[in-house]
Amino acid sequence: MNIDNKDNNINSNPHVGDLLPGYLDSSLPAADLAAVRAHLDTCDACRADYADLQATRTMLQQVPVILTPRSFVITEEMAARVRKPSLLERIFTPRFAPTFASGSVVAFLLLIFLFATSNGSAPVNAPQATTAFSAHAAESSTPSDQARIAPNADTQPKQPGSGVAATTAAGAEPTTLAMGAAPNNGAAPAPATPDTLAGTSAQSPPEATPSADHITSTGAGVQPPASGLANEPGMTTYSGNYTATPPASGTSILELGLLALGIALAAAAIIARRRV
Amino acid sequence: MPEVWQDFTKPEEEARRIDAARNGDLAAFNWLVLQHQTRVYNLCLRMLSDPDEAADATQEAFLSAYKAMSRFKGEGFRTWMLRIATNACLDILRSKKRRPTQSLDSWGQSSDNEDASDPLPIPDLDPSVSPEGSALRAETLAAIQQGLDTLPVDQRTALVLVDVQGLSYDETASITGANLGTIKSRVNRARARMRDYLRERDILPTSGSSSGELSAHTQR
Repeated sequence: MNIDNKDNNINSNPHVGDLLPGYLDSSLPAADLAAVRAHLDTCDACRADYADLQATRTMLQQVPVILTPRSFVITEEMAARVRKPSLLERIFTPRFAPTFASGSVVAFLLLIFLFATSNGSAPVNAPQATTAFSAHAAESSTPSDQARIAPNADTQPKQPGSGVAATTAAGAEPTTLAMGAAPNNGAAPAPATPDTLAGTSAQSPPEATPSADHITSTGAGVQPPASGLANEPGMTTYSGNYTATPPASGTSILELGLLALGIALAAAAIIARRRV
Repeated sequence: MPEVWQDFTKPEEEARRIDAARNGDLAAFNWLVLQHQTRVYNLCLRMLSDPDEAADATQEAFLSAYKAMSRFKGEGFRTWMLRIATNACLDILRSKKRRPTQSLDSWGQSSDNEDASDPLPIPDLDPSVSPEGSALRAETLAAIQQGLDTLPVDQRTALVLVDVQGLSYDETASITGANLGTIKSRVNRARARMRDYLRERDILPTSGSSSGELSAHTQR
């Protein structure tokens, strides 16, 4: 037993001051508890010590609860200050709303510009368009059509494929072909898009150019760029279609992308503006 | 243990709010604040002995808790909250120790209080605002607070948590990060020192009659 014997002989007057706190909360080993209890029965000083220790603990337990001077709830402002916002929250802030709005306007302006330029760029696209036309016409024209379009061409009705007819015509009258190509390009209507260009030009040139010479010259006029394939009419036909199509789908993707971007930025601007 | 600290909240209700708060629900977190702010504030008040500093520490503790809420693991919210509050108090005490100010001169020391009848201008210790029904007189409360202030910080923390707040040794160990034996030792030493402090000021029942003799036995 760890008796406090600092000031006293352990046998005559072993005070238990050091053990009293442990005795108070019964955390001493059983043997020590019994020894302290026995000592307290005989020692007034230690009993008074123990009484004071008990009184001290009681006082501490009786310390009153103080009501809070104010509420400590976290306000939205405090929360915003403390909490690290997520990436989306940092992006969608009112600060960026004007940027999103401007971006949206720019996207739509670009879209309009794209429409405008694709309309106005018909002359630039004309060769391709004509190629498309000739290719399309070559594929879709029936012998009777060709007969109607080119009544003066003796050999045409006998040719099932107009690509062959064009080649034949080109081979037949090389000088006329070169001359006929230029007016046709100049007179080509300006379709809105290459897509419609290919579709409409397949029909309109025949109406605008009743001359069979002109028709054949148109077909032949586009031949020179594909002259390497001139010996294979079928190949010429497909290459013509192929060169006309990519710009058409590329532009629509760009336009659709711009449209989506413009809408998305407008939505972002609205969302950002609503966040406080 | 004061009645106001008894937990009337259903554990499942608190668990629900904790889940919501962890997901960023500010209202749910503030529900937790309202549940625990009295205990947190009183801990800070006993630790810091200054109502304004206690309020600051309490607010700081709840802000820190809100900030760290997503990292809160399944342990008891009260334990976690009191740990944050204790750390907030220790931070303030450390900063005061580093930068002694005029307020520190009167903090926990009676050397310059000879001319002051009420050395600690603490509202809760002032007789005019002393809670009704308290078994302790205002002078006793003031002496207790002064006694707490004289204790080493680790002993004060343990004593306030165990005796004033009525927490178990286990929870106090969790809050402070010390082991159970250390906490018991700190509480025992703190109680003995508090007894001596109060006895010297004639606060305890046996004071006056044989305080000198008793002190001789209990000085360590």
